[in-house]
Amino acid sequence: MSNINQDLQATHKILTIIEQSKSNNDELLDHLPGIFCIIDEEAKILRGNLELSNIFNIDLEDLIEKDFSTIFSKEIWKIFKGKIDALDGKSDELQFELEIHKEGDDESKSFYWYISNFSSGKENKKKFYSIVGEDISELRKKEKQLMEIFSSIPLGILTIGPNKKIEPQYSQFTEYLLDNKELQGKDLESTIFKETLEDCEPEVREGVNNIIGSIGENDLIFESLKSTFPSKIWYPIKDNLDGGRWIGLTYQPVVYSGVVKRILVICEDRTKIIQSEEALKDSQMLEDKSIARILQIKKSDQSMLPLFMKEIEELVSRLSALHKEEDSKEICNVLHGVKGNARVAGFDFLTSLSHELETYVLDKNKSENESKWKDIGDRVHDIKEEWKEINSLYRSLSPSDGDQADNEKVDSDVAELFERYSKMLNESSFSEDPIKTERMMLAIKSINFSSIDDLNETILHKAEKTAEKLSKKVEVKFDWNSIILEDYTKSSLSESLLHLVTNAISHGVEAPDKRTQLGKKEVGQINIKAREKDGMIFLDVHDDGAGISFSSIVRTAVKRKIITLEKVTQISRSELLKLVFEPGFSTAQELTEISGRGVGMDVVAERVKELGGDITLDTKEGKGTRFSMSMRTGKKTEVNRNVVSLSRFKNLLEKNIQSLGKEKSVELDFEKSGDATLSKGMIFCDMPRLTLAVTTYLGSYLKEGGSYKLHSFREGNQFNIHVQCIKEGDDQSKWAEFSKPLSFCLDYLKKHGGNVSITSEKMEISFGHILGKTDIPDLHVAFEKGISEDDAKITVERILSIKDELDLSLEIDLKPDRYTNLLVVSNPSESKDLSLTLGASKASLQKELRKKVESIVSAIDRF
Amino acid sequence: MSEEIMESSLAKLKELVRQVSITRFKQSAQNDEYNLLEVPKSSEKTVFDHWMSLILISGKSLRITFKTHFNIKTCRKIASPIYGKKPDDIAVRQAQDFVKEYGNLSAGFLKKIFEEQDVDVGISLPLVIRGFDEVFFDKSEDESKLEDCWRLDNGSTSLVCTSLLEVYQPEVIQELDFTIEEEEEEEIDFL
Repeated sequence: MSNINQDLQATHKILTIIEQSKSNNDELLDHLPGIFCIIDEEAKILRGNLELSNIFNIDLEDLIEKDFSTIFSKEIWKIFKGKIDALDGKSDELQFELEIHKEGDDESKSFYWYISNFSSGKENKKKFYSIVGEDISELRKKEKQLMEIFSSIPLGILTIGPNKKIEPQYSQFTEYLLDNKELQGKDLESTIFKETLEDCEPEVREGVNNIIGSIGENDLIFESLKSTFPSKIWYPIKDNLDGGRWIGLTYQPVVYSGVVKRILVICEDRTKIIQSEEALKDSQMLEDKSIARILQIKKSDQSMLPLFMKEIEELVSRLSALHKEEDSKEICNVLHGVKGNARVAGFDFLTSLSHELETYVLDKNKSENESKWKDIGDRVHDIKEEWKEINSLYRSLSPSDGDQADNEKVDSDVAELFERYSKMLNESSFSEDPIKTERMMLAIKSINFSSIDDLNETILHKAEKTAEKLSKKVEVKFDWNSIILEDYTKSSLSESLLHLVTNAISHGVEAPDKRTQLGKKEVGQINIKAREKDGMIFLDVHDDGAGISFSSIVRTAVKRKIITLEKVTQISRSELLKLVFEPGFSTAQELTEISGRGVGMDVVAERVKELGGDITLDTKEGKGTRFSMSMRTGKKTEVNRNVVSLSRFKNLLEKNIQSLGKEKSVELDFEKSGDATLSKGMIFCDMPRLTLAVTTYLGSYLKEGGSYKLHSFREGNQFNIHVQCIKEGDDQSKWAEFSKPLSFCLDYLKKHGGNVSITSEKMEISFGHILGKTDIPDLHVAFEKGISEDDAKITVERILSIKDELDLSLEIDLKPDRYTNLLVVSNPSESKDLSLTLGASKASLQKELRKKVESIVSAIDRF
Repeated sequence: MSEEIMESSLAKLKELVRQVSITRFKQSAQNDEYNLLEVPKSSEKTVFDHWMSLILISGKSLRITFKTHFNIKTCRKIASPIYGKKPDDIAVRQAQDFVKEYGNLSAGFLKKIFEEQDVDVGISLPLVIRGFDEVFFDKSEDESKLEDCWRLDNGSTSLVCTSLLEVYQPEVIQELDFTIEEEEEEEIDFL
């Protein structure tokens, strides 16, 4: 064989191998999982694979010359062609997603395409394009399913990709949540945080920057920065009812090889939750306010409360009209009145609302334009609403015949509230406000209530014993539904009721055989009924006995010289019946160990009067007798246990002037008082409300500014304060006008025996019943009528507690007086010796007090 | 003058290859009903069919690339009588070998003609590749080259043949006198 032939054989061998190799490669291309083809400019297929032949549904060998564009809809092909055209001479490869539509199929299929120019390496006039299409329809189907799941989840779920933009796949709810359908490819700053970043704290901006900055970083960096990412934002949305949404945000890193590639952001609509939280907070606040209002009403002086309520009602009702008239001066006057009344009544919210509005109206920096009057209108509305609440609570807290059960609940609630607020008082900053603290403490300390039901057993027992001794049969029925009374009142009432029930059995209810003869039930009936209203208890004790002979009442009264015969003809029947309550009156024919000669009845009447009530009698011979009583429940603080010294008085006055909104500087000169006899050591006991009324009233004058001399002195049983203006030219009439709304203070003062007179030069204020009949000067302790032993003791202890203010040596004198247990502590100017005189009626009390006072004196002396 | 010689030489070769193509095809397909038909210039294609068989005849004076474009379906029909099988029973490889052998016989026949006229040529192995590979062939225009395309058709089946003719010694080719004689039928010798 020649060399040439050997070369040819070798070449043929190589060619055979190459042919085989090429054939294998072509087969690989034929079996590519996606579409592979090469087309010319006219989209004619020059080379295709099996997947493409499947799409066309023809044999692989028949693909040649087929029109590639027919696998697309016309519109999609335009896009595809556009991409091909874009390839020319510009880029090597383009990647994009487009759907094909296979004939006969209902659904389109998503393909991800890679197209590039194809070069044969030879000079060809025509251009060729290599196309690879990856079938992602299943992937999209899965995605769609996932998206459907996403869509049903009320969460915004999106990812921030490596390019730090929002990636295409995000939950549909995200668009709803952010009210934005163009999130893809946007950054966080222009979407989620767009509004937040406009006006935010630097930390928030830093947090947003940290989210972006952590992409591409180590996952440990992400974890360390995570706490700075904003977790909750307010996302404003136009046309949204709430004006936007609260969006809660959580972040999850998607980590590859320890590097954060993307961040999953989950957005949650927290609007309802946050609104609920706020509503709960508001509701709690409202509840607290209501509780506080109830407390304020309960602690207010019940005897004066109706007056305060009436005054405030009148004043508040004027506010709207004055607002319409835009009469700022009169509005201020009215507000001042509301404030003063509310303040003394203890309605703190109303006081502050009135004060704020008054300050706002008087603010000269604010021009009186439409906006200001609108604000004023809003605030007037607030005041009216507050007043409405107080008034409504006041009415609901006032017991009526029909709502006894409700009252029980209210009383029970109030008892709980007192406990709660007592605790608060000990913990809170209430103590920083001496007036408020004082008022609260007074109210709380004086509460010692219990149910009237407690008396049932005692009365029944007494009735049973009495009836047994008199061989009578009696049934006592109670209808008083657990009315709550202050213990002192209940104790007094208990004595009175026992008297009445005993009298009814002994003098009224007949013996069983007599009752049978009269056609009555054998068992006598005694019905005790009570109702509570406006701080008063109304009691009826009715028996179905013999009644009281009218003629015998008259006879006895004349006989006992309680009334003259002439007088009898001049007075009414009801007045005649009242004679039964006179001391020494008795209608019983026999003296018994059980009921005497009417001694009990006058005591009953006296007790009832002590409790601020009255008693009447109605009787029908042969039918029975009805005693009707009224008295205070004692829920008001009748017995106050507070001590106010003159220096404290001054302090309170200054506080009052400040809280009333002092406009000019005020100088108060107590020390230079002309009559300094009482300038030191004057002590008012159990009259803090009176003191408050006086300081409030006085404060309203003095707040106008200026220098004043205050003279305090005693005159008989009066304590007086004279206020004299030092500066000339001050218009006192203006004071009077300004404090007109505070007339309730004056009323209160007058009710307690004091008075105020105003002249062009000075104002004179006198307090009521301070000293009684003692002539001892300097230091005085006075009580209102009816003080108990315990209260006297507590007062003495309080004196001890303020010994720092008592720059005196003391003489203590206890004298019997028309006041029960009047305690007078004095300091004789001459003698330094201590003396003590006790004159109260009860020896035990005297002894107790003597010991106590001696210890006080000793303590003060040591001090 | 030389252009005319070149044209005349290329025309002579073109005619020779066409004649050999139809003559040998009738023999290979054992079917005299095949005719040689022109392929309109306007329908010139880049790729003619899915498959392509090619063989090279090359010597000092000339080079001929002879290509037969086909698909298996058509090829099976044509080769069916040769193999004595139904078209569908003919394997792809068998169909391809049939076309390869046709190319080989045609090239061998041309070689014999050239050698009788003292023009030495060699022939390559016949190969079957994808019809798409047509794009890799140089289509550049040159006066010494001629691309030719024709169809072998019997009315129901047809194949496209193409040739790329390159003349290096036109004066030699011009002088040749080709007479194509029908050879006695031979057994097809598949490679």
